[in-house]
Amino acid sequence: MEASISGAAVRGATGREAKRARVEVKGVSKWFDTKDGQVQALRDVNLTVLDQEFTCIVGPSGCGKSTLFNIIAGLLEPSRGQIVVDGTPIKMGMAGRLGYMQQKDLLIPWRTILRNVTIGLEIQGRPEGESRELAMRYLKMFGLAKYADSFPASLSGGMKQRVALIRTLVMGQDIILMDEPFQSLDYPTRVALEAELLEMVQELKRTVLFVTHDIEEAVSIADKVYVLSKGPGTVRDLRTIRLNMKRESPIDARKSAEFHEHYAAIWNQLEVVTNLRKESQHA
Amino acid sequence: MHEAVMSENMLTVQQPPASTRKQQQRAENFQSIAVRAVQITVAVGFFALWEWGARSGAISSFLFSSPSEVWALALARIRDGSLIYGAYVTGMETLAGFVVGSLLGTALGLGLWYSRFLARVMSVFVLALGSIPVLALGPLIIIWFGTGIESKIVLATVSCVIVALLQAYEGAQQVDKDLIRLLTSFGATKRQIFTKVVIPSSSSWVVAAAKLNVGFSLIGAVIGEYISSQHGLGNLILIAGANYNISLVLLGVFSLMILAFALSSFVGVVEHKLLGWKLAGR
Repeated sequence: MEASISGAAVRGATGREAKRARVEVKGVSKWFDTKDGQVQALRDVNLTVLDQEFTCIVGPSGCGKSTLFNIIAGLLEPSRGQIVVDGTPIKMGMAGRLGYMQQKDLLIPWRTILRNVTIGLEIQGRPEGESRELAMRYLKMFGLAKYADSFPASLSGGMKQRVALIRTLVMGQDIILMDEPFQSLDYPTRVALEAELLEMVQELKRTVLFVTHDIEEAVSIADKVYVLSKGPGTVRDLRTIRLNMKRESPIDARKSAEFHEHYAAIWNQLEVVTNLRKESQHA
Repeated sequence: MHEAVMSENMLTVQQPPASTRKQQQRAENFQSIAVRAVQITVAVGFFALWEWGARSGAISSFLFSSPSEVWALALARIRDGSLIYGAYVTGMETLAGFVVGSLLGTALGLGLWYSRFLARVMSVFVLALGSIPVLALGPLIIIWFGTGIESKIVLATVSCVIVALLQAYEGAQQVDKDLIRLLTSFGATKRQIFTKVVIPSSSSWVVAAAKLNVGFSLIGAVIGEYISSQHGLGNLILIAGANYNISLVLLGVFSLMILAFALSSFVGVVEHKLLGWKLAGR
């Protein structure tokens, strides 16, 4: 709790200019070769994620969100431009620098929950006892300690996604990339997980880049929302979200007046995008 | 946070009411009992009809023997130890061949995951070897390994190695690519991916192969005994057949049946140990 209050104070007093940039996307474009020739997925995308900031990227499906995500994660090479993390340009295959979480929980069915959480630590050769202790601490925080020895098959979708989140957090990287992590969950579970994520991220002082196509989700959890237009994806708008009630929970955030303002504004952006696209198709 | 956890639990712990579940369970139990009852009735009916046919002269007891004769012979052969010894020899040949063949085939099949190039080169040879009927190899193997237990073990091994290889290779190819990407994102080496994901996720394929292979190994061992042997159930059947001792032939056949059953139960136990996680959610 203390962490989030002081965090808010910093935000209020000094503004975001005082924070250092953690992830910078600089002039990234991406073309894919298809049998119908080259298709441009991203066009000159620029964005910045500041320290301990919760940044969302929203955009309609097919706007190249996942492409951008994979480029930032170092799993895909940009055709042009570069990704800079903490001032250093990153290259392909630099796995392990950034935390990484996807829509699929990807829990390993033959491993217990505890051993699913420790898989990353195990790969990095950390001592087993230490890993177990760390994992148990996180499982307790999320109220999942009693499932430590269960197998994934016996958990609900929401619980599995929590375990996937813990598996990411436990690795200790302070920058975390998330690609529609709660997409496959039902609405109430998703809102619950958003709240838990927000609380954890503030408590652990992590920096998050969160990709989603759900405007509501983005506005209720983010400090900053980048709106991406449809193919080729490019940044159409940047909105700084400052909801009074946001720090309490995403549920309360949805009730505030500013929430609806932001929601409508972003929604209009996307509408404009679709209209433009229709016109260009007719032309 | 606590509120969130609670609301989540309320949503997820939605199971059917206890009474319906109990009813379903009861229906399930009833059906299992009914299945078993019908099975027993069919078996008893078969033997009763056979016995009646032999006694009344409706079928030739010289050609078809009768359950009581086979049973009497079984008791005699168990008492003098020859039946148990024969089953022991054949069982050991089968088991040794099965273990060697399964381990060898599985190791090769999984190992091919490392090199897609090598796998593609090998595929035609594997298929060529796999297409040879084991029976055709019998004489060669007897000449090379002698008429003792060794040649039967080799035949049993050959009978199951190809299936084990193909299944293990297929299992290794079916590994979830996203899972591999996840491990890569943690910085896993190819070796770590192999031991932590490829081997365990192929285990259900390997076990499926083992279930088939126990039968194939038994065929291999019996073929070996048919071609040339001094012991084993195959030897017993071969000699009994040559002497028109139908009761003894049938005793051998039933013994093989029981042996096959025992061996596949053994695989079942191993399966349960290896794949316990699969049953966890049910």
